[in-house]
Amino acid sequence: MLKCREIEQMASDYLNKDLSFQQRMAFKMHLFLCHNCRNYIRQLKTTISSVQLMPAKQSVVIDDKVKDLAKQLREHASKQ
Amino acid sequence: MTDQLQRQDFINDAALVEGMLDGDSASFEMAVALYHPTMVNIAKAIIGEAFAEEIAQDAWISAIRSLTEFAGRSSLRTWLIQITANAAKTRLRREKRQVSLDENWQTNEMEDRFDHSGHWGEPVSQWDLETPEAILANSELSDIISQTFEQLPPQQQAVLTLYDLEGESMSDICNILDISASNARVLLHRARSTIQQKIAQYQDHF
Repeated sequence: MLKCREIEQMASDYLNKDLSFQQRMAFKMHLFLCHNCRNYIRQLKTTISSVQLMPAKQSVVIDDKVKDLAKQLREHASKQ
Repeated sequence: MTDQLQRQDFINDAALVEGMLDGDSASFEMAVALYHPTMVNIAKAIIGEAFAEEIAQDAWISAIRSLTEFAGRSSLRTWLIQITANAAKTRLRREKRQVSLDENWQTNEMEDRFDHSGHWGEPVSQWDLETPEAILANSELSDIISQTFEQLPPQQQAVLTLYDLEGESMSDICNILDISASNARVLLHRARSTIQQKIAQYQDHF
């Protein structure tokens, strides 16, 4: 029987579907019996989805540093 | 002066490339704002902090030189990441010495959350803010996530960006960053786990 510590270590591989059939079954058996690990996996899944959603929610900041580099690159492009 | 643009105002890759080919300054600014930080981070993950900014700028120059060849087979971000990674690897070979790479990644152990028998030390609760939308709608939590992301060691941030944001395969990530598959998997899990713990800390005291 896998321990909670092992579930935590294997969690990303589980969510990425990178576990062997046997490992996956052992993982699911543990989740069936352990509500802490079920909550942990739910938290990790939500974390990944939040990270994936993050860029869409952020604004794009165009500050002086961005403008300077953009200007240099544009000048470089115009010389080609 | 700083301009803030919403991402929903994005122009797509093709339009951005076309704008750059036309010499449109807004397109250059948008491209730099969108992709430069990721490019610097990819360079950091491969060659370390010292050369990262320079590599990213060189990569832009190469990219602009071959902009007409951008065929849209991958996203513009992935194309730029590949150019940056190649530039960083070439430079690394030229430097012929191992530069400081994410030194802490092996020693950066997280707080042990388990007891001696391998069970959770503290119960893992269900979060009050359960959906990504609810989490990001909370401005404090959303700031915590972006700050944690930005403070991740470069290799962790690079793997997280490539896998979770860009949807690259593990084998492509290993090629881009020149790391082993087992390293990539550990780095990805550490990055995700660090962010999960920060969200959990906030939600537990909510």
